[in-house]
Amino acid sequence: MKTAAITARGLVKDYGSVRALRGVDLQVERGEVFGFLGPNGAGKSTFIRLLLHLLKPTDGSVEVLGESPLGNPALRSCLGYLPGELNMGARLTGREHLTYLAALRRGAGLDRMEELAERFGLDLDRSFRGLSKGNKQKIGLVQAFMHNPDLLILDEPTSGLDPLLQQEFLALVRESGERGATVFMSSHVLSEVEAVVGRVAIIRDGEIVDVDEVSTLRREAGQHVSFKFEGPVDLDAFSGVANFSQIKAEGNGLQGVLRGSPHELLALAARFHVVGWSAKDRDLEELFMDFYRSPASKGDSDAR
Amino acid sequence: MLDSCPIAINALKNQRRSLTYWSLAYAGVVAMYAGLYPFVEGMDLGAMADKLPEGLSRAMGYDQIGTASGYVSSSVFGLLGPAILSVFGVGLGSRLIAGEEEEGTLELELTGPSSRTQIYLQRFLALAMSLVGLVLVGFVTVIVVSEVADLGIAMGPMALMCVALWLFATSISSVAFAAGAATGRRAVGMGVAAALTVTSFMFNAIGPSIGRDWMTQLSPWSWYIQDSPLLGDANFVSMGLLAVLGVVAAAVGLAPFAKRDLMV
Repeated sequence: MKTAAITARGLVKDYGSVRALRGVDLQVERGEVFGFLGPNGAGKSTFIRLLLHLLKPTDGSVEVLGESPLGNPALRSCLGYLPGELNMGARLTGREHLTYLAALRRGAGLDRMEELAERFGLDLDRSFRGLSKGNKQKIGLVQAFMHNPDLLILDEPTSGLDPLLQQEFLALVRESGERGATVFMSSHVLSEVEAVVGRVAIIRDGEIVDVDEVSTLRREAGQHVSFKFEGPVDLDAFSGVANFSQIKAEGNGLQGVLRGSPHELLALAARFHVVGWSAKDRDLEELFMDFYRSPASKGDSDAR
Repeated sequence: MLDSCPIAINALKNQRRSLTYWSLAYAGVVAMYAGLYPFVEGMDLGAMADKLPEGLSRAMGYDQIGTASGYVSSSVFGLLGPAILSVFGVGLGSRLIAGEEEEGTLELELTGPSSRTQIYLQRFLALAMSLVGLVLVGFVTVIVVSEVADLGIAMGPMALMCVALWLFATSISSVAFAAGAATGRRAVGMGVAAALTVTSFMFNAIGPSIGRDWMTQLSPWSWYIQDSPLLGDANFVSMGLLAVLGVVAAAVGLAPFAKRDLMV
């Protein structure tokens, strides 16, 4: 049986007196497309740098493809990494950089360089410093994907890409997933990666606060429901509905967040004269905001 | 052989423009000073130097300034060469790991399948080779000027002189490289190397006049400047000491670089 793609146990990282990771436990299976979400400064990049042995853990352990990354450079030939902030020698062209990075991997991926560059509309013969942020990001993506690595570690991959290129990037991620590669990508915006990831972990302040299927999160994010009644209604009656929260009343209108079955709410509303109503899926970002704001578990994430 | 050192080659490629400018500047300065000899020859510098106290004149390398070799030895190799090469080498040495780490341009190299030891050693090789390049430019320039202006500078002693200069510049640059790599801070690399250079310069200057032999014995500048191979005084012990300094500095910097957190 194959080992997990990433296993972290009680992973702690301190920078001097600042604790960036407070005991992270996380397992990513082979073949998963996994989202790693959190606001800036939550510890996403620190976690990623531990996977690559740029940093050493203060405590706990981490395994990548079943091996410790510590003092194990050969392991990194199976990885594709996109840094959060890519910088490369200013005077060399994209082609020179990519050829060099392929040479470090004994030429692996050189055959896909042109194809990927074309896909992203990247001019390989311009020097790095003349490139826009988006074009630099393209070089980063090409070097991460070109050698068909077993595990892709992508730190904020969609930043700087316009919507069209984001689609191209997501297609590339899907293809990698289809050929069995594992993709671990961080983002602070779920909607950019929602379309391709299966599970996501949410990190906040150096701790994982939730790991779940995107579809489950989607369900738990709930719906914005609003009613318009013919006359004033009894607000207290609605606050008795267990899965209806964040209730606000305004004139003859009423709105709130519904999670799960609408039956009880609708049965109650039907006792009044409803003249209009709507229900729309809540943006997942709003759910993340709930997580980011308080160290709450998802059960009471709507507490304000 | 080149294929086996892709990291060194790439580091050199990244510096190609700066290397070109430094080479041109260095060649220009060397050519200008060496080429001036026919004009200063008639000024009888030798007689002027003879009027200085012997110790001082010898310390400044002026005791044979009346000859073409003596003039080139003291102007090009006693002052400008080591000054230019040290500034270049310390700047490059502190940039090759620490500077690039600070700028983030080292990140993809470090996250590729190369070990930190390989990266360190090959980047050190790039530093040493850059200095070989500059020293060679100086060598060729002096030989060409010597042919054109009929200075009669001999190849053999000139080659040895260049080796000594390379050893001096590389040893100082190695300190900058190692201190930068060990700490990840370019400023530390430059600072440590500058402090070493200034101290060794001062030790060489004041040691003899206050009768403290240990000062010159400990000063890399003394190791380099006391005997001029160009004048037939090649001192292989001193050259060996410079080589040891360079190698030891590089070796000391490796372990901390291999172990520490990299903040690319």
